[in-house]
Amino acid sequence: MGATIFTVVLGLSIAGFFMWTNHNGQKRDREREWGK
Amino acid sequence: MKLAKVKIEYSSGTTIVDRVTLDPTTGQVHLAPRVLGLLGKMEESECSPSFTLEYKGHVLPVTAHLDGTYVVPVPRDLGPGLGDRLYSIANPSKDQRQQNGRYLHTLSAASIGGAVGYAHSSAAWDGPTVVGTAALVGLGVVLWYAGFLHMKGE
Repeated sequence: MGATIFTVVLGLSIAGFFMWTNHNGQKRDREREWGK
Repeated sequence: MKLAKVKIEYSSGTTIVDRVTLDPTTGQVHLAPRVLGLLGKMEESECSPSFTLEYKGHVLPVTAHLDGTYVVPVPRDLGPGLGDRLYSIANPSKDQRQQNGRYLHTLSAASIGGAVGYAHSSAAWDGPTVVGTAALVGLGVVLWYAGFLHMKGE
């Protein structure tokens, strides 16, 4: 059970981290497009 | 002195792109006389433009001073330091985002494959096996969806 929880937490953390960077990158592109 | 690209965008859609010299220590921008002439001509019929300068991947707003000089706030972290590297990881470009999406899809495939292998390797289909398999499948779906969002084209 411990291994399952570890795997799920690790996987969700990886997905969450990349979602965060994706959001940052899109925001930066939008700001660059508008010349901010 | 460094060379940098400037972009001047007017509300009407007219865009001027040129290269200028930039003094990184003071942030002073030196425009070519033809660009200054163009700016003066456009001022007669246009609103204030969006004036930006691109330098080492950073887009900086250019401010015109009353004495006719142009200045940009040059960030301190323009060097290849740790902060700059972390910034590029936290703010990936479109191509880098797509690569991240591919990586997430690889992890998703590994998770689904792992779920199948895990289920087949267990002798009995008991509670912990079901929970472990379901967790891997669920994770595979979540990772696939996260990768899918990374692949969004414009």
